Amino acid sequence: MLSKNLMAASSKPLILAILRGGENYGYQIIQRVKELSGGELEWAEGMLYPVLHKMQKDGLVQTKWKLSDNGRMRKYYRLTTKGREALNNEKQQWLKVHGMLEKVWQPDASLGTT
Amino acid sequence: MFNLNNEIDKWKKTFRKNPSLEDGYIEELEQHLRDVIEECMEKGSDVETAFNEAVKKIGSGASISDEYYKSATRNKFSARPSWRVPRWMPVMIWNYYKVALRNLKRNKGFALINILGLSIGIAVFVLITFYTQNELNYDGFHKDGERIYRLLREAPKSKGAYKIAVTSGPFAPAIKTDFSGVVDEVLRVCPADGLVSYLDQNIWEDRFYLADNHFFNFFSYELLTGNKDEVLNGPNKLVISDETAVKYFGDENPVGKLIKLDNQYSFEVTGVFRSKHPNSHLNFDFVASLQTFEGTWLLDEWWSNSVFTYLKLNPTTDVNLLDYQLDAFMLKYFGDDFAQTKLPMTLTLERLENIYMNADSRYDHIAHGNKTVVIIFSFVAVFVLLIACINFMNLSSAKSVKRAKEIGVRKVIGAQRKSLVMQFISEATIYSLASGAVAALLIIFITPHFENLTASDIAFPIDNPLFYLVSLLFLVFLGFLAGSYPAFVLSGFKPVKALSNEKLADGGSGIRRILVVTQFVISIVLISGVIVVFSQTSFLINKDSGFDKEQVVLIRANSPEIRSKRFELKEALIKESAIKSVSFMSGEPGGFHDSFAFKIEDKGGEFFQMRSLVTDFEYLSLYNVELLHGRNFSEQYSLDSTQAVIINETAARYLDWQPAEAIGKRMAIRFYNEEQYRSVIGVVKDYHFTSLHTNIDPLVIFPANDHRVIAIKIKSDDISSVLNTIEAKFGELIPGFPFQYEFLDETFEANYSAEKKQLSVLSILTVLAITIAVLGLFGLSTHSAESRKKEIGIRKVLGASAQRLIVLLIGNFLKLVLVSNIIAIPVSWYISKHWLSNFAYRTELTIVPFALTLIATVLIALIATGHQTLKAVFMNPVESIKND
Repeated sequence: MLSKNLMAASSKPLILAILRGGENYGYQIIQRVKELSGGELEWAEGMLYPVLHKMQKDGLVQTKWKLSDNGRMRKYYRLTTKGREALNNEKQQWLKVHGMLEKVWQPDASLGTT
Repeated sequence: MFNLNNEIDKWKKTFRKNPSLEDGYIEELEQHLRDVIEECMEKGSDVETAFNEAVKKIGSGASISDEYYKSATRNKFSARPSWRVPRWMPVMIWNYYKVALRNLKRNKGFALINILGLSIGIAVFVLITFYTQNELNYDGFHKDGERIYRLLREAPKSKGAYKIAVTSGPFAPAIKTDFSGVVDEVLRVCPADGLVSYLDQNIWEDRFYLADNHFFNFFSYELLTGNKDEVLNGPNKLVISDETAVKYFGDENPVGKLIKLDNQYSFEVTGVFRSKHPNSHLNFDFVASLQTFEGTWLLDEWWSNSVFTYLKLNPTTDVNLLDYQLDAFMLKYFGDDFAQTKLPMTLTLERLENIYMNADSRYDHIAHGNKTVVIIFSFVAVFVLLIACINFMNLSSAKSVKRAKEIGVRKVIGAQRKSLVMQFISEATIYSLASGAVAALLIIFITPHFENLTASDIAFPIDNPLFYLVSLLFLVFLGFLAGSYPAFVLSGFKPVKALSNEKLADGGSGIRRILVVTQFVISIVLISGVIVVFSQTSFLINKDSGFDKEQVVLIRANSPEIRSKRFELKEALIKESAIKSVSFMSGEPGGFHDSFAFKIEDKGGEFFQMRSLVTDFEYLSLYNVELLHGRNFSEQYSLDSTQAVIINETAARYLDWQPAEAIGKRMAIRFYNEEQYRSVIGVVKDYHFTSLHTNIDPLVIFPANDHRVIAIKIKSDDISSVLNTIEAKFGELIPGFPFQYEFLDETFEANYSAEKKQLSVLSILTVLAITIAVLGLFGLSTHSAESRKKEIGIRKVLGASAQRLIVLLIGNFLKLVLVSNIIAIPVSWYISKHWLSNFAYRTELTIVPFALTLIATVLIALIATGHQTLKAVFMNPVESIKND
């Protein structure tokens, strides 16, 4: 299980990345997250929506209500240009952190300066 | 049957409560829910399980909406939505608040009684607390105050163990040399008075102090201009208060100005101090350098009563040891004198912080407080607050029956006892906070009057944030105190009973009775106390003092100008038909009477300490003091002015003489001429030459020149025209001097101003306490009449007479009043006895105050309960029975 803080931090790039594949609605985003984590990542599903709301407010996504095939209204989210930039930015940061951690965790690197 | 759409609607409703969730968000969440349900059902769950599963997956509405709120709010410090209760408050606080407000609106009368009573209680409590704080913290502001002591002389036990607050000038330098290393600093302060002149202003100032150079270093009075080390350094220097500076010099810079004292000494103003200083036993407008009087008797004469001597001890000094060593010091300087007078005096030290409260020293004419009074006031303040709290407890628990349904409903829905207790305590806190606000207004309004009444200066720390915090905590605590008992009663209702139509037993009426009795006991103690204080005060004022104090005008002759012209003044005045006689004396009755050692011839020349009075020949006739034996001073006997004395009865007894035998005995006055014996020519009946606080001391009256007061006995009733005449004569003889006079009956009565003040404060407190208690009783009787309406109706229908019903209803309250009296009287008796023992002359403690109190309380109870009772009794029974 991921810690709460890490989960909160990773939710933004995760959602942005999922939306890069095209517009999507909340339920499907959750499904995709589940798939990606292999069922390990368990969000209280409702918590996704405030995050999306915040991203919309920050101008990272656009929304649109659409009538789905089974006759239900769905709110679709789509990346904006600003959202793409944010995703790239996030990606850079996460890769950097990842790279640092990788290096640190190399067995011989952990021996320090020798 | 499980209906999915209904359940989803209900689920949505829980979200609607939250202001941060808009319809669109909820709609979106609903769609998500439905997707999850479908997914679950595809896996084979039934609708209900699927729904529950989905709800669980989505999570609680509160936390989702909190997240929405966080993304919307600009508040960086707390993500707690404004409508959510902080963690330390009961969850349902807003509901409690709402319900409390509704109840308040529904029972306006009760709310008014509660809030009014409580706010009076709080106001009194706060005022008295600050007043007593003030009284107890006199002289607390001096740096190194804990090391400062005042030097007192003490007479041995055999002579009454009295203390003398003043010492003489030579003590200070002698102590400084003899105790160097033990005593760091010594300071002399001489409280004086005199005529201050600047240009054409001549004003008699009685707060003119003389002090050693380092006065402002020794004590911590604030200097506004001038250097502490220099202002009094050297003769003829003077520091004045800022207010005095304005009085004499207006806007001009006072520094460098020259003023005159008694038209004799000239002083240069070198500094200004702040006249508003924290409470201190010393209160002065002028401080002049004592050095001005170097080489005079004021500083050089060992045997005089002129200055206060203060010591600042070394931090390592053992006070008890020093106190002991000081006795040897006395023997060193006074040993020979003591051997002669047989009146060895010792020295003792008085802590600076105790000076204000110790009023038992002689010649201690500075501000004094009274510890007993402070203690009594504190108790009264607590009691008044207690009465107010009891009111609250009684009224809320009495009203509880009406709220039984609400409590029942809350319990059925799942409220636990704990949360109900919380609710009622919160409610009481709302009341106490409201009362606090009203009390604050009351305090703002009352304080100036209270300060006037007690002649005190109450400083509220309004710029200290801690003050507000403590006040708030105090109010919350008060809410707890007042709310805990009703909370306990109310939360104990059984819901089934509360919700059915069955009548509830009036919860807690037994305890309520105890509380009412407590209130009345306090009130009774207060009322009887006030009566006792009143009768003692009027006893003091009206007791026959043994001399005639009516129509006597006094003129102080302290200053050389007046003293030198006194004989001319007398001559001029005596010619007036409206003036009966004029006499000179060292002190008027009730005023200053010095104490001298008298050498008694037939006691083998042994010295006896007695009070003295220097007069002329007219003294006894002017005051109409009764002569028991012998004769008055008379012009016919040429030796009277140098060789005669008159003593009082007590003096005769003190010297083991029968009053009649005393005539012809001889004594010499140490201070004047030890070799010159004077004969006793008369014995006067004892009269109160000091206030009735003290016993009549042995007194020796003799003619001499040390006159300080001119007494003028007036014949006519037209006081103002006589005063004009006196002023005119005065002005002719002593031009430019302010004519100031007093009436003897007023100055004598001023001795009892402390008692009068206590009486008025105590009366006001008592009236307030009774008002609160009456409010409570009124409320309680209203409640009792209301809740017994039906019973009364039925009784009436069955033939009960109005009288019987009144007896039935009021009897209950009267019983409580009687019980309270029985409890309170012994308590009150004890306290009164204790208080009265402060006085040498006192009224007998009789049954009268207590009987009066009993009658008063019965009347009060009748008035408080009467109206409601009569209303209930004379109500048409049809009205009261017809409902269900």
